[in-house]
Amino acid sequence: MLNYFSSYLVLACIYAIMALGLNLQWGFTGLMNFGIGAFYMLGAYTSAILTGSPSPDHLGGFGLPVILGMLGAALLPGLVAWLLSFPALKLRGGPFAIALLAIMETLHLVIRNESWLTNGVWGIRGIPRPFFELVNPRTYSFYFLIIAASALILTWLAMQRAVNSPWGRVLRGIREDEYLTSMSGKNIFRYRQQSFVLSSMILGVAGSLYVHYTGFVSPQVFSPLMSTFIVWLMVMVGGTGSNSGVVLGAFLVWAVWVGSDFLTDLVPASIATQIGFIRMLVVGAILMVTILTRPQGLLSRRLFTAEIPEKREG
Amino acid sequence: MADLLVSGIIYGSIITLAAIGLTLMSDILKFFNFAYGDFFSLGAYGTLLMLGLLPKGVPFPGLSFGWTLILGLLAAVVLTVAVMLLFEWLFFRRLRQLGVSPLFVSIASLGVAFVIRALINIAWGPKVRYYSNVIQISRELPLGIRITSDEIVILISALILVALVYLFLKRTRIGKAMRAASDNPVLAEASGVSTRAVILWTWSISGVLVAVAGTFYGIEVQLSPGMGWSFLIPMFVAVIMGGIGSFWGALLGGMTIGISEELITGLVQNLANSMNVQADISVYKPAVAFIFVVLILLLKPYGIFGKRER
Amino acid sequence: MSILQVNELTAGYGAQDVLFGVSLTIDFGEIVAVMGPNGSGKSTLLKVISGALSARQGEILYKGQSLLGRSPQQIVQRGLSWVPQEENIFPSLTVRENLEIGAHRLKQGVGDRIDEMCAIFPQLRGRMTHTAGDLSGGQRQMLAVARGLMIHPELLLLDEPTAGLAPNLVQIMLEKIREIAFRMGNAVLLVSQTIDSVRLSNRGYLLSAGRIRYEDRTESLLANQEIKDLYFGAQTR
Repeated sequence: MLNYFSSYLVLACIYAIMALGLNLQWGFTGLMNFGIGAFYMLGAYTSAILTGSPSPDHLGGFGLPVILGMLGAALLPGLVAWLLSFPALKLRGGPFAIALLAIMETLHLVIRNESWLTNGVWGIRGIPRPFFELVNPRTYSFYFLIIAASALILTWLAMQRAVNSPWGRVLRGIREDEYLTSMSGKNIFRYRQQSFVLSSMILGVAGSLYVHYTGFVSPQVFSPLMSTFIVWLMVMVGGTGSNSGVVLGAFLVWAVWVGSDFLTDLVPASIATQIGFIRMLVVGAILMVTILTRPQGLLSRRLFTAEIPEKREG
Repeated sequence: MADLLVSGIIYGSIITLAAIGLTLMSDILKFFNFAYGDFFSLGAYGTLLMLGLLPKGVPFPGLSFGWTLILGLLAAVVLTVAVMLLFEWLFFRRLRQLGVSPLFVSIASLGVAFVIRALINIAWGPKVRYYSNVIQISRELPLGIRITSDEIVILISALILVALVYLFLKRTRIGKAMRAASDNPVLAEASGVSTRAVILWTWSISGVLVAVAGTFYGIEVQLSPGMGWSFLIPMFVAVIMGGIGSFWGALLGGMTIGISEELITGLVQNLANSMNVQADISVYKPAVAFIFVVLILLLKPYGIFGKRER
Repeated sequence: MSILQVNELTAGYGAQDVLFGVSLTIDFGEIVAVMGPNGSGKSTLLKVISGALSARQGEILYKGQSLLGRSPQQIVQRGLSWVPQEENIFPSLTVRENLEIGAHRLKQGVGDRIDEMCAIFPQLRGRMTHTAGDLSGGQRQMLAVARGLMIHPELLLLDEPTAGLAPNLVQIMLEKIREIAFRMGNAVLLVSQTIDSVRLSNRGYLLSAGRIRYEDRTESLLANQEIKDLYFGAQTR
């Protein structure tokens, strides 16, 4: 029982880290990124390849220590984000969302198909799990939780520092009124790029944590719903622009998700098989209701509504 | 090469039908409706549903479908439009009244997308389906073009439908009102154009287009619950490339994306095969779309026929 | 009863009010000018009357009935037509289509009305199938006013009808406005910062920083050197 609860907490922490990453991009910089899963995936596979044992089926097996794996998991997504930022950050709003979605789709397909690199749909096994040999496997979640929770706290502290720093203030200035901020001589592109890259690195680290927890990675883990849109739900529910809010959102949404697992035992088999789709339905419905009733989310004080309705044109 | 071109044109015409509806909607409703892909699926599955309700029919000679599919399609179109209007009435209209900003409305439309996709999965399951068991054999045409009769019907129907939409926008009173609202919403209101009517017609026309497009894809390939979601990227890219709100832009964008995705991935595939490189290049279609979006927007920030800043 | 009565109107954008307690009256068939410098709120005044912007306080009575809370569509149907200063045509529609939209609520006689507009603005006659966005500045202005007239308005709101026009076109436009008011008997609320336009009117108001400062017959206003200097600056030299 404790293990089950710990397992929930570990994943909640990992998702919370992702939510913090998304919050930086979306809540503070206004980037509507529907492809965050791409960076999560990149981090996960980088760790897997760097730290895994050698195998004829796929690239990698360098057997590096976990900490280097995590470093790589932060750096590669960061690099990719940096390269992508030059074309992608020219886009706004909807087009940006679509472009990032296309990138994520492409990456997902590459990982699925380039078996020489990733072992395709069979995935990569034998990824080292810190402390695993030292403890009773059945209580592993509890020990990993220490790592995951520490990572979450570190990330949260870093994000709080970042958004309250001068850098963070400029970011918020860009979100509020880009024109005005550019007039004060700030290079808007640089700030958005830095936010995008940093955010992607955070997502990569989350991916790395995931594979070091489960010891295994495969493309099926990274469906758009589980790698991207559930995180969006967490951010929207918890509070756009609020670091504590998105962490809360992550824990709440993940609790509902895991809780629905219990339901599968209680309901007839015919419904139990559909539980995945019922979850999708619930995600969609909660998202709709949240934006209808409280678009800014639970803990965010800002109102993200449009200009006051009486103003029709400038 | 000719094969690729043909499949590109078919694929492109399906995208175009949907893109025309999407460009109208994005322009007049001022948000990116990410549920549009799932309305595409809804149209296709609606036809499947209606086919199941109608007595079994006989296919037309040479085709894989008969009167029952056509009737089913018409009913599915009505169903899809009704569902879309319901979402507009109960949800999107409220969001507009509350003054929720367009980015947030787009995110909300994601919620709608998941709801619809989940319902389709629950109702029909994740397995692939077909309208009929009839296997189509391609016929040989001059120039080495191979095309099935189904595909010829789809192409001609798409052409007719596109022409009808064009005439609607160009000749009818409400069509002109929609174009006026797209150009200058404030002046349109000040001229007496009913915003309400324009919005409802926009939903309806895009509903018709997306339901037909989905069904055509179902005829041409297959039905699966994720079919619309995978069309989301090419549809949006076509709209963005062509310029939001532009009929011709959607047409040009749709055909370009459709043909390019097939042609480029196909040619690279041939190249890879000839070099004995083991790879499935067709999976890189979204990459083609991404490159297009970026290229076009670098040259023309509002799309090829785009109007002013949204 | 006057055709338009505005009482203590206050309105603005966002947190900022732009009009403060503005009052004015227009009689049937009158041409009234609202003059004043840039940023005085003249355009905002027309936006509120036409329904494009909500009033925050005050009252607007059109033929004795309140316009508050009415949509622009409802207002134009009652015979109150607005021609904005900028973005006053539909650029991707043809000239004919622009006029047809202007007549969107007209039950019948659209063709005849288009002919009447061509009689007043001959420059439009040969250009019916041209895309409005391709027209020259002067032609656009003519089209903008013609669009506003299609509905047989009883009150026409004109926002800077001669702005940006070459001097000879300015005179032509003013002639047209005079001709229209004479032929069709509609009242005109003309907003302008140029003296030439203002001279069309019998009566005028001076709006500055959102408040009415003066009201008088136009000749008296324009005879007042102090007013001319303050509000029309270089033009009077």
